[in-house]
Amino acid sequence: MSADNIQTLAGTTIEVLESYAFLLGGPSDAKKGPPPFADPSWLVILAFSGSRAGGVGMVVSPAMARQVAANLAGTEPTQVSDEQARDAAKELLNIVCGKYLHQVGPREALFDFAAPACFVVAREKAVQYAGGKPQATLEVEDHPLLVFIEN
Amino acid sequence: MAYNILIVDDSLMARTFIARALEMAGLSLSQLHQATNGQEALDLLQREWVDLVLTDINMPDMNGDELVRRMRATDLLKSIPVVIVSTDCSERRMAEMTAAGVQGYLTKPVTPEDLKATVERLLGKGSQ
Repeated sequence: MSADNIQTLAGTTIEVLESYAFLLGGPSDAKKGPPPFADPSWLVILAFSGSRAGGVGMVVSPAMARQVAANLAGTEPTQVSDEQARDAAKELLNIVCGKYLHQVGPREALFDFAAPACFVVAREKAVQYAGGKPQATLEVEDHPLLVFIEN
Repeated sequence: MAYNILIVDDSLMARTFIARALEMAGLSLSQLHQATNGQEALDLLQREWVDLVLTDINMPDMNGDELVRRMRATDLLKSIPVVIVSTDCSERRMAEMTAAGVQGYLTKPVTPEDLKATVERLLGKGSQ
């Protein structure tokens, strides 16, 4: 995975958030930094194998996941359960991963996808997990979102 | 004619999104069934009349590939059109699924326009 790939992953994430969840996002302000992550945050991971093995992940605030779920269901975030919000976060990463691999993989590539996993972890541990991996921090309508590549 | 459509996906939010997209597409729906995997879908297809199946590929217990194979091997079900709705955009996967007997392949996030075009291509234009 080249360093350019993280830019592709970040761009894909922004595009999917807009088209799928109707949320606007972009790179976080380099000077100001992103809004703080919630504590605990959710660490969402999706592994793939096949033409290339690896994974993608994200650290997301529960409030943002709730907003994604609410937008998908056409309801209010307060009416969304934790289970629905976690499901929405996993499906979001699923879509991002599929589009990302389509852009960076060879045309004839074939991948098998594991089921995405969503862990509730302390903010520091979530950010630490992504530490040292190619990563990008985004700001999505006042919510922080960190995306990263494994392997 | 109003359509009976079955959505198969292990993600509740994915099923919700597709159901909303079908409504937004203005399609005439008689019944909208949902299943969380291939096995549940097969069980439902034994007791409910369905005009079209929209299914994900990667699911626990029985995935979309196997669901399509089982449907194509069952007299009662082999003529029901199946459309894949998946995050997997690879050309090889699309070719594999087409060879397995699916009639359409949509990548997530699916749009109401794409759904409408696909459903009407396969089932004809419905009416309220």
